[in-house]
Amino acid sequence: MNRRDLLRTIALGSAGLRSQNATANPMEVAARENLHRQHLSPKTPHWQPRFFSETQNETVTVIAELIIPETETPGARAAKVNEQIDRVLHEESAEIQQRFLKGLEWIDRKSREQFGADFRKVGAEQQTSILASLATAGGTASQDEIGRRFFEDIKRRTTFAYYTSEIGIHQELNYKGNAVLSEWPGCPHPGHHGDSDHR
Amino acid sequence: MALKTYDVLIVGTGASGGMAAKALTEHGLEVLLLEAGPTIDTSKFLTHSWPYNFPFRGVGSPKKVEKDGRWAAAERTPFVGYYAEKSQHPYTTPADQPFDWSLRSRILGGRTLHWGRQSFRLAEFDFKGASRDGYGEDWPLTYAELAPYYDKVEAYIGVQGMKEGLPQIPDGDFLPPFAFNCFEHLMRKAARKMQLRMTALRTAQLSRPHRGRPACHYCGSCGAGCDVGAFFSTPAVTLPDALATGKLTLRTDAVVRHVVVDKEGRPTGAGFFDRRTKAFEEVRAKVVVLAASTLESTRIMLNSRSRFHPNGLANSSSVLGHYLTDHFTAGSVIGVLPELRGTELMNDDGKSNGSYIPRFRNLETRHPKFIRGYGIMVKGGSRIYPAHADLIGGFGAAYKRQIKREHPAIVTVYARGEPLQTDKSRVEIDPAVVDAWGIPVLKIHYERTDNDRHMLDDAFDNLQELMHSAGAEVLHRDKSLSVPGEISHEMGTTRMGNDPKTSVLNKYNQAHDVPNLFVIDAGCWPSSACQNPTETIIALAWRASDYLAEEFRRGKFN
Repeated sequence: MNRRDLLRTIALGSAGLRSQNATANPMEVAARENLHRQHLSPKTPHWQPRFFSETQNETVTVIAELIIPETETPGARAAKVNEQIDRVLHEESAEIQQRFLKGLEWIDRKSREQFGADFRKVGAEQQTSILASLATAGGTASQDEIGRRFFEDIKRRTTFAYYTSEIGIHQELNYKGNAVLSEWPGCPHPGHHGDSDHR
Repeated sequence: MALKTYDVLIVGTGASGGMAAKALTEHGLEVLLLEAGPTIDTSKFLTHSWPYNFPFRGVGSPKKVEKDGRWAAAERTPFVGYYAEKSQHPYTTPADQPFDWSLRSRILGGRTLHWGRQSFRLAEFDFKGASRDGYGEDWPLTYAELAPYYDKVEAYIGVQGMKEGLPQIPDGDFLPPFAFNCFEHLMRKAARKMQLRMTALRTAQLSRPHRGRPACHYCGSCGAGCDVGAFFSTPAVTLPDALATGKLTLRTDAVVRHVVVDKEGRPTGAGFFDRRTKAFEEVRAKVVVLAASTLESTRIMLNSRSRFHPNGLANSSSVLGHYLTDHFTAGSVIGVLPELRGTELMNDDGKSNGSYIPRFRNLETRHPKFIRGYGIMVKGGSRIYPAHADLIGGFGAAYKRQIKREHPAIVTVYARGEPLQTDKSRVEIDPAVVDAWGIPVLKIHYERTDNDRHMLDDAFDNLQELMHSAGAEVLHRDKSLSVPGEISHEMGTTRMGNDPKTSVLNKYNQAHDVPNLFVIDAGCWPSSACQNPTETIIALAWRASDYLAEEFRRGKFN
């Protein structure tokens, strides 16, 4: 065997950790810088849907905003939830793709039957009444399985895309984690501590 | 050109292999350490990334999930083998016996790169299960024999936690515990009302700088790999020590197929494929130590059939491959703590830790329906993703506001139980399927026991009572056992014992049949306890290494 094959050294970043001065904690500094560097969002200046048609994209955008609307904070439209749903669906299996598109067709048909126009073209109140008929909890369960399953699917996709977006994490939830701290503060409310002997 | 003969060959760089590499090289032995996966540059870890930094928000594209499994598809850990890719590392099961073996690794450091870090000692009684309740086998060693190694391991790797004086989780010398979050204070009170003790999960995660490693900086991203080595892993802890001796030769990308034996059937080394070129090579050593993880070590032994070892290496007992277990989750309940609803969001997941109610069943009294026991995990508070959203009905502004209002108030409790070893849960070689290197794969059989199901009944009742005691409003209940393999605590299949007819290894992890073969991962466990296994794995690996080095010094392997 070739001796060179048995490498004695490895490209191992953390092997050098031991020599670092732990009290100065340069790793913490590095971690903080890293945090800044990574606090960047991929930019999509001239976005075009890859999976949806323009019309389908519009419908998805409208439904997503109805699920998570703008309130005191921006909603699904501002968080570009439709772009994320398009990106994921583009990579899904043909079966899942078809099921989603059938759901979009179903909701347009339902809208035409009830209100005489495609879903994206009717009023917000009418759109809400259609979705409410599909929401299983907090609304009346629909007899129509295709529509109900479609709503569950698009609600899950919308929720995931929204709460993993910059807007969802930072503006809506005001999430405090993924920070660099020197000590774990724990609960600052003495009222919660009760008779607990732990800090 | 003659092959160099090392003193010891270690296969695998996870918790046990890394430990053995450190201990054996520090004893002065020349060690060759083989890793099936690539090396890892921990400076490339994406520890502090955000979901929106990734095209698929961290979870990976559906195509990649389908091809390689949901763990391997994760975008925050884009390293080959960080989680073993399904397409490269297949295995089979009977159609009616699912086994989820997706949370395994093929990379330098193995699962230590992303392990849960929980570090509990086994109890004195865990070593004597059969003597207490008549089921299975006792361990061939006692708590007292392993205790000095638990001490050494905790001092070495650094474990934060609270001393509790409870026999079911013996205390050690811990680093100061992480402070409790709001929900933990409330749940501790709720447990106390049930006469149960809730303690901080003991984890190998530094609350203070320790042995030259920095303390945790509470980013909460342990699963993406720690960029500063604040929790125990092979690359951060054991490997640098082993390399510093100058006695270690590390070879990554070496996919071991089998142990090579000589004319007398005695191990002399291993045969492996280069992961990238798929070229076959052999290496030689006086002693072979398998630390490839429970099932991979067993697979290597089963694939090491020869005329001396027709059933696989060191398998005169026919026990090799049998008595497989994996810890199981026995029910879960998710609820909302009214006191925290609508409160200001805290940084709850930064310490990436939770709390634990240690086993309380079958201690002094005996439960009529099941033996052994379970612990209860308590997790909660606001996480980066508000997973409770999927449990909330409706849509619109009310939906959005409810998600936010309940985000600080979520608590999840679930039980983790001890599975019983049975002969029916076992692995064998599936001759019809090979992996990406042409190596025959495992067929895994796993059968749940009635004891598991009775334990679920009891655990689920107690989980609900705990939530009731906390005044929690329940959002979701799941009374089910996890899919075998899912917890990624594979144990057994090379079990240790005093009788060579019923065990593969002796109490020092040495094969009864072939004294210069050691198997030091969790395959040796003759019973499973309900505590997370890693600290015990490291302690056993250290103890086995000290024994091996002493035997070596006495000329036993020449």
